[in-house]
Amino acid sequence: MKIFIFICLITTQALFSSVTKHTMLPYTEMHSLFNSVDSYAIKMGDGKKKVFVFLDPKCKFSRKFMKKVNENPYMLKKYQYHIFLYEIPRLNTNNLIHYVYQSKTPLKELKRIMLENNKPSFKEDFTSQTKGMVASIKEIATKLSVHKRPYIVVAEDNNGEN
Amino acid sequence: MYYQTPSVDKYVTKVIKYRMSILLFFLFTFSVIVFAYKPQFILSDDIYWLKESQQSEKGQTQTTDALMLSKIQVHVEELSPLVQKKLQDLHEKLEKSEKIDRVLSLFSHKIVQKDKTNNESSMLGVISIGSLESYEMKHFINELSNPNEKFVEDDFHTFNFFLYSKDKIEFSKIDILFPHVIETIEENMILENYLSYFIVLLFIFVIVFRVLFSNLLSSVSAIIAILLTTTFTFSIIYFLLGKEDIYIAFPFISMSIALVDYLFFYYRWHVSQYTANNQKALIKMLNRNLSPAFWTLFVATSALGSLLFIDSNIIRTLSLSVILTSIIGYVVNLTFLPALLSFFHLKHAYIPFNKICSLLAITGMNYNKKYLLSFLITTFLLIVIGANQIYDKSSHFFDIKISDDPLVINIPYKKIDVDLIHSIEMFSKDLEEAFPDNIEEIVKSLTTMVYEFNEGNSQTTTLNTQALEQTLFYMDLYGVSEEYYNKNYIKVTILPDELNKQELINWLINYKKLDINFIDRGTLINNAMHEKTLLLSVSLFSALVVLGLFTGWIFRSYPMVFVGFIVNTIPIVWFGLAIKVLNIPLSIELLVAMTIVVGLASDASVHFFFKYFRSRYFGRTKKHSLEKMFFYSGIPVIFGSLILIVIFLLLTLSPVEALQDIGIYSASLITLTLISDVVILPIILLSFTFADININKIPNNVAKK
Repeated sequence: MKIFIFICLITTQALFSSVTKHTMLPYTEMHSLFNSVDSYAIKMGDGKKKVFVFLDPKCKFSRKFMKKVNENPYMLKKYQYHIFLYEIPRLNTNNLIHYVYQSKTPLKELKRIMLENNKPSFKEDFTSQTKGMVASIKEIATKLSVHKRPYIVVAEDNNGEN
Repeated sequence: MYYQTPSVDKYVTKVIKYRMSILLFFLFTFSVIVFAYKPQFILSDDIYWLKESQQSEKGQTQTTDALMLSKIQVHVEELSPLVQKKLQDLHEKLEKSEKIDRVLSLFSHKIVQKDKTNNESSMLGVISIGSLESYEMKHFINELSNPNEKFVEDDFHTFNFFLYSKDKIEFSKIDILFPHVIETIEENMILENYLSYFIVLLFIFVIVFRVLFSNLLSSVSAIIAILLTTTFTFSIIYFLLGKEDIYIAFPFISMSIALVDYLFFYYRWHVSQYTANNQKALIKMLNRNLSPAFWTLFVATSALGSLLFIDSNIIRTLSLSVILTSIIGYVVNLTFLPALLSFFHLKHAYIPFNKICSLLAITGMNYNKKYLLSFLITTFLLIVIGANQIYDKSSHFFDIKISDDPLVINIPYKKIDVDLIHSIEMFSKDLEEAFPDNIEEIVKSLTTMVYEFNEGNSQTTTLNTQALEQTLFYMDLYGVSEEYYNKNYIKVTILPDELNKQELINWLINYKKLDINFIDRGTLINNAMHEKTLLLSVSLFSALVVLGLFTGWIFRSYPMVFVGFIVNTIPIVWFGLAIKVLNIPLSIELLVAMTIVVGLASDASVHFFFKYFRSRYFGRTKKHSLEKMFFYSGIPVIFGSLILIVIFLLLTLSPVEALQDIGIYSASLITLTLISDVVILPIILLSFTFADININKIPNNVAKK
């Protein structure tokens, strides 16, 4: 019986621990979706090439991504980052995301949280506009099957260089 | 013609009258040139070959963009974490060095950390191999032994760093904390070093002259005549071609030819010292040498003149060196030398070589026809085999200096897209199929990196445009893009493992599906050598044929076409056999040695023929004519060759590799030429001048003595 359970466990592990590849939409479709929420994007960098990226402010890999980009002038010069904040449910960052979007300087606030580990205190009286923004981003993220953070999509148009 | 004796009495009188003015004129001109022209001697022939390379023209807008490959081999006692950190630091230090364009080492290897989980929080990562723990690193290297064995030995005590740079790297400024060996190309030589070495050679030169002629005058006047000829020659080359850089081997062409030309004149003056009247010695010196020296100059200019129109810097410089040396040497020997020698009279001008000349003449008279025939047939067979090998481009007549260092190639692109990635992938597959036993995971390129990234990226599946864009983004993010591409080229590194690199290079040159550019100098130079082998050989052969044709014309004899051709060809052909047997690589030193020999052999043969024909014309017997030929033309050739052999052999002791090569090649070739001139030339001359000299062909107005 023990052997049977062991084999079952091994098989289950083998079947479900393999890399799950998520199919991405064609870029033209992704592009129109991003366009619909582009005004909500927090923009960083001056480059010609657009990078759409979904982050969670508390996700350690999202923070690593922000840190690596922010400390690299080349990456800020070559690319322009259109950042969308999208919650990882277990990190419970929905209110924090609302707070960032509602602040007057979302990029500055986001950097303080993600790069300086600042833990802001705020009231949860978010405007309907902010709620609408977060909801729209969530809706787009679902359509795009955003399954991890950071989730990046690099613009495929001819802007920018390789 | 050989039967005429030009009248130079008035000329000699004028030279003696204006001798101070003539000497001052030469001194003044020499001073002006020395003041105005500061040549830079270069030790590497790379620049010359690079300019010849079609690959270089294809790949670079400027040939100087080609990169020089240097190598640092570092030895460590034990690969401890501290040592590993220091090696990683060394790699980073080299990468940051402004003069170094690219560093290839174990530490340039990046590992993509697979985004294995389907976790909602994850990101693709890249780490350097140096950041692994020592045991992990060893394990990793053992797993991927093939690509990395160029960079680290199996025992983990020796690490190689390959450096690509446009200019010479100043290694003294790089602090390498471990015992190490540096392999690089020494390019420039300071003029002072070159001159100090030459002073030693001059000292030996004086001693050899002292032994042969028992005086100092011969060596001093030789040094001055050679100095003037060489300086004037290279200043004119500079004026014509605008090149200030002189490859260190080139002046030897000028010096060797100038020396032998000088010896014909000086020797005749020396042996004419029996008369108390110095003017008569000068007259003999000039009227006996004026014509043969002129015809030598004519033959050399005609044979090599056409080569000036060939679009090859090397051939042009070599031909110009011989032609200008012959012309300037002729002028110097007709003006400066008599003006200088007119101040001197030798009391003891005995030359103790009469017996040797008689011995050589007797040996020549009693030759065995069978041996001569066998020798000539063998020589012809060698010419045919050599020509066939050189013409057949698939076989390589000359060996090439090949190292198994990494081979870096550039693939130009307009846009990095999936098609480009697939075509590089196809290139790798084609390469693996072409070399199935040798190439296994040894091509490092953007494609290998893209697949590695994409495999680890949980966001993407197959390699499509988005997957590629993401990969390129991550490569930028982790700073590895530069290593695999720049804005113009994809960089591909091939790590040849126990395969014939020349075959690999040929395969790459003939690969049509991608535009491949070589960037490292070594490969470009090897290609240039292969591209030019046929041209260089045809040039040399045509020069020898022209030499034969003009020899026939000068002596109005068809057999002399063959004699003129074969006598000059023999040393080259037999030396070619030695090159093939000993696998000597093609180099400019080799070409310089061959050019010296063509110059010397044509000089010697025309003087020999001239003297022999003249003596026969004036009724001497064959034996007596041979004796006179050996005494008046043979001795200067033997003396000149012996002096040059000693000088060139001394060059082999030089610390500079280029000088060592020129020394050994030239000494060997001059020895062969000397043997050919002294042993083979007389018997060929006797065998092929069947009908003797036809006196009826000579105009009646020519006075017979």
